[in-house]
Amino acid sequence: MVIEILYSEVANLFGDRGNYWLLKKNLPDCQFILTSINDKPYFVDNEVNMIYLGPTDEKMQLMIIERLRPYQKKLSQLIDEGTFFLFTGNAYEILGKQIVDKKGKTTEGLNIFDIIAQRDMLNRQNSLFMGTYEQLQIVGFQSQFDFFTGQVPPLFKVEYGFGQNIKGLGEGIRVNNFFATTLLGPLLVLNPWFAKEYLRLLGCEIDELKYEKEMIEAYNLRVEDFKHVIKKEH
Amino acid sequence: MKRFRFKFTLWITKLIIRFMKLLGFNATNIPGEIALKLYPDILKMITPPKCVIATTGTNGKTSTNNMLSQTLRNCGYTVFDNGFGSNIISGIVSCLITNCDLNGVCHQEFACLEIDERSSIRVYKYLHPNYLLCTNLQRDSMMRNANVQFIFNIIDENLPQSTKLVLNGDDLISSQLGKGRNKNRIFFKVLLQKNEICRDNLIKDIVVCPQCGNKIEWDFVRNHSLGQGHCPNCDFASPECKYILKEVKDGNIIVSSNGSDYSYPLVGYRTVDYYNETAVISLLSEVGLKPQEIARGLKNVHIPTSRFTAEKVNGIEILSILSKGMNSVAISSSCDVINKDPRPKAVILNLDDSHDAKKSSEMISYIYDVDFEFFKDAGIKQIMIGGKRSQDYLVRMLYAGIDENIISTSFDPAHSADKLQVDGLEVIYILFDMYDIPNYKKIKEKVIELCRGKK
Repeated sequence: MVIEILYSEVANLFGDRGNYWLLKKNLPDCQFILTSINDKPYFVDNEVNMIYLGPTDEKMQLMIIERLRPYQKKLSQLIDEGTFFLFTGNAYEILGKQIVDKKGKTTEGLNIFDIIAQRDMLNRQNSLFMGTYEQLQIVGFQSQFDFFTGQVPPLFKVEYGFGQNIKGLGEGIRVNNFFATTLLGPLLVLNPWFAKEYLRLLGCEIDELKYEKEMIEAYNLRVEDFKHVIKKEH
Repeated sequence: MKRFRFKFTLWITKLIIRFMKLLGFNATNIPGEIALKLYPDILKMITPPKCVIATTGTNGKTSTNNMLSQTLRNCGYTVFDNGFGSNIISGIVSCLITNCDLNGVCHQEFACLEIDERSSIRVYKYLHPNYLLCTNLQRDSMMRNANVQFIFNIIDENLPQSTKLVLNGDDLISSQLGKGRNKNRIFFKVLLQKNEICRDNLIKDIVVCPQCGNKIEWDFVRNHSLGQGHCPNCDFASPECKYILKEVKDGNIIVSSNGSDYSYPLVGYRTVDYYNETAVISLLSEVGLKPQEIARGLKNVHIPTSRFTAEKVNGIEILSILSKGMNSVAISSSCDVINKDPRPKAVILNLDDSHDAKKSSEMISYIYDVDFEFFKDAGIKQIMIGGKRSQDYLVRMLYAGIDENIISTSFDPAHSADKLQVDGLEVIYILFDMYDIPNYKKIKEKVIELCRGKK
């Protein structure tokens, strides 16, 4: 199995390197390719099973778009063919049609998904997130300047927190095996049941995650805590 | 009419400040908030001292601002600062109103104002500091400060052109402030010291050249993105520095400027203290103070004990370090200090940010940016983690490769130290968050009690 981690030296905000660590700890036989911002992505000439991209700042995001623009068709083809992707934080925005800043600046995205990211740099939105993936309870954090408009199938159902178009009932994007979410956490570490399910879908079913007991204990405490906070707020 | 509204607001606010102080409140924020409601442009109407020094940056701005004002005071100048107050616009307004006369004129020679990075938009619109010192720009709370580039842009876009900038030449990010616009920019740096251990931290907020996108080549990295580097493809590089801390020797630091070396008393023993002191020396030299005068002023300057305290009980040293919650760079620096201490030790972590958790539940993702790897193989006998998020810290420690047998957790932060075994320990570190002082005090009491009971 080959997993390509795109631009980890610049796309690593908000502790999301934890997602990569979880994959690495639990897939010891997997080959991890760490592609640097000035390198040609490995997926262009080679077969990969999964591609991961984490959150980055707005300036680096522009650079990433330009680095990936020559491979827009290849990326689109990989999504269509069912290659696994996990994009977290603001990473998904690069695949939309545009990123439109409230001040009026527009950046052309890779136009793979029919979405437009709306950015307001003076208004940072923070929230806890609680939702579901099939029967699994999902928890995480959201901290963002952007929301998107447009129609794409969501990844999670929203119970609390921001959804697509802010108030949507679905969060993130799920197209074939392309998984994208605004959730920070890191998602896989904070949600061990979801992590196991993701690995199963990837074809790496494992009985027990590394540090599973401790992760589940932390997860259970968080779920209870979030429920309490949400109840208090209502 | 404008003048009348200003005077009315000023006097009302002065009355509120006096009343609040009589009741024992600090009066650092609320009066300013009221003043801004009554007269949003009030900052424009107050006549500040002839010399306004603003200090900003992610880490070290409070210590540096305090050091600046203390040094100036020790030199005999009249100074006011917001050292005990808020660093956002309402705090700045409160501070200026407290220190101006009934006509809104400040008669002191200097104002030393710590200014929150995000408040640049509102403060610099009205108040044009003569000098702005930026200690560094590093990763901070994702909720408040998003990312370094965002904070850089906020400061850079709002800097008054007339302000002279004193910048950290070892920080490739903040040293770019005002580039191409502010003509007056000077830089300081701290040379690598003999036997200094450099760190390859998890996070480095500048990796590629902001001008051409090539990978930056580092001459050295002290920690995070502090160091000297250049782009192999274009002219982007660490700036030439006017003030250079060359050496720390016998309780003094040697700082060179314009080809001459000067000796100043050493104020603090950590690298961060070297930076803060060099920044103060650079700024005051630019203001026009002579090296001998600055050295005299620095003699009796002390770092506030609330941030770093040490005491010995029954032969065991108890070191408390205030660590800004949700600030991965600051906490990593504390982890580094612990790592470098060769003595057998225990560590108590109580880093839950109750301020953040007040509204909801604390965002914990930043702990994956903290270098807890420094705790591995560092002679730590016990790690005790307290608070609601202690289980998350435990998972993070396991990811860092720390032996789970030395870690214990306590949901109730006040009981973090209950399992402490002091036998064989020479030092106990307590890392605590600035918003959780009551629990810190309880933990410390327990630690002292256990140390006293040691056979």
